[in-house]
Amino acid sequence: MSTQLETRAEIVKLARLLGTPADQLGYLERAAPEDLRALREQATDRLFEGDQARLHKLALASRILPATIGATIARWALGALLSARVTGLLVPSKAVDIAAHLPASFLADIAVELDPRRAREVIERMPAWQVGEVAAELQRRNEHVAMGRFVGYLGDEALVASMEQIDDAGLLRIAFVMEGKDRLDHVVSLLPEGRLAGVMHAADRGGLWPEALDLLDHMSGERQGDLAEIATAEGLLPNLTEVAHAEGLWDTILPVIPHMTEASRLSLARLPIVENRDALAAILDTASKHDLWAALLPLVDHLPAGSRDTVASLATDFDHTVLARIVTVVGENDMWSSLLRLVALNANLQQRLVPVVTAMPSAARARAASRARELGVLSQLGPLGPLLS
Amino acid sequence: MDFNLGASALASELGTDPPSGLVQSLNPEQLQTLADSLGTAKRRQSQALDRAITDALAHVPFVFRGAVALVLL
Repeated sequence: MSTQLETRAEIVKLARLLGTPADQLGYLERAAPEDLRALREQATDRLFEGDQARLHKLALASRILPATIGATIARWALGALLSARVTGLLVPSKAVDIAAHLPASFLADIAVELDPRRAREVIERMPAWQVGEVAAELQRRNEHVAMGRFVGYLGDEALVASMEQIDDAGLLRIAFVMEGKDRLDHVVSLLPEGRLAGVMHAADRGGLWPEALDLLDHMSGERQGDLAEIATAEGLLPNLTEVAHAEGLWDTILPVIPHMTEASRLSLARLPIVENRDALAAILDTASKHDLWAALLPLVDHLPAGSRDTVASLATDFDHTVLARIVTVVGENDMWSSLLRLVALNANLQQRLVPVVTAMPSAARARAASRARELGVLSQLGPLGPLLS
Repeated sequence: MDFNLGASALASELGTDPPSGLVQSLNPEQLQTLADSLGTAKRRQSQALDRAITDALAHVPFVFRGAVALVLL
């Protein structure tokens, strides 16, 4: 997620906690999201601790009373904010009993105010059907930020019930702001077949590609490959890559390439954007910054001739360190055929590689020479030919 | 406004030092505004709790009221 958007999501959460309109906290937009999150947790603890004794008394009183009366008091005397504060202090089974007598709309009000860290056991014990009802209510209110705080605390059954109630665009928005994204791959694994295609179309329709790319970034390699297949099959790759370029998010796309099928790689390599010199420069720059050469090189094989010429030409601007790194990665992954065919296209690049190849261990040079002979390009490598052989 | 005053006001409301990165990214007035917002939220919550405890008793059936009042008040 971009830092700016992450900061905005944190401001929304902090505003809710402080009972202040989010636009009055605009001065926090320069703050780092991790600092705002730490502040929110400090403020949450302070608000809780400040009235802890009286909140405990309310929790204690609930033990004496039947759940129906507890629910009446929660709804008509405490209201959502104080009910949220008390929830984590209740005996979890009692909290769930009380919740059973409350309408989903009020439970949604509580959810918006609740600190999930303090009510983990209550959240875990809530019946899935009821969590689903609350999710539906929160979806109606577009409370994606609030829902994003709960994803990490819900069991699989409750997650499935919730996701059934949330539309495809809503799922993307929640995933984008959710806390504990290390769980996102598992959450996505719970979606029924076909839902991911809907989610990606929702990204396309709703201008939510940055959110979809963030989702992609948090998936396992296998699921990244699945998503890439869906994007290819559904004809969504052009728009996805246009946005990746416009938003400077190639670092999300490139790691997916090794998990794509050859057919999908070919589709990616033949997109109009990959013929654009600026886009190719951005891709190479990203590969350099994030050391993604091993991911990128399989794509280079599939590029149209004009784009391969452009890549070779752009590579002549790389400094010695970058060229040396590429050669190292190529050697480690036996990607000589990809590199040699590219180098054969550009005399300047061949010249720039002379010091790098000279410094290569003899075994690596022999391996490269062998590959060059197999490809029939040894004689097209200019000064590198004699160095290799 | 003294830089330290804003940071101290926020630390006082939080009961602990705010994140250092946050203190560095805001000016003293903004830190004071944040401290005031938290102070207001605390007071609002406390007042709401006062009202809620009184109101809660009104919803408690007579048979439980004495015991609940003993716990709450």
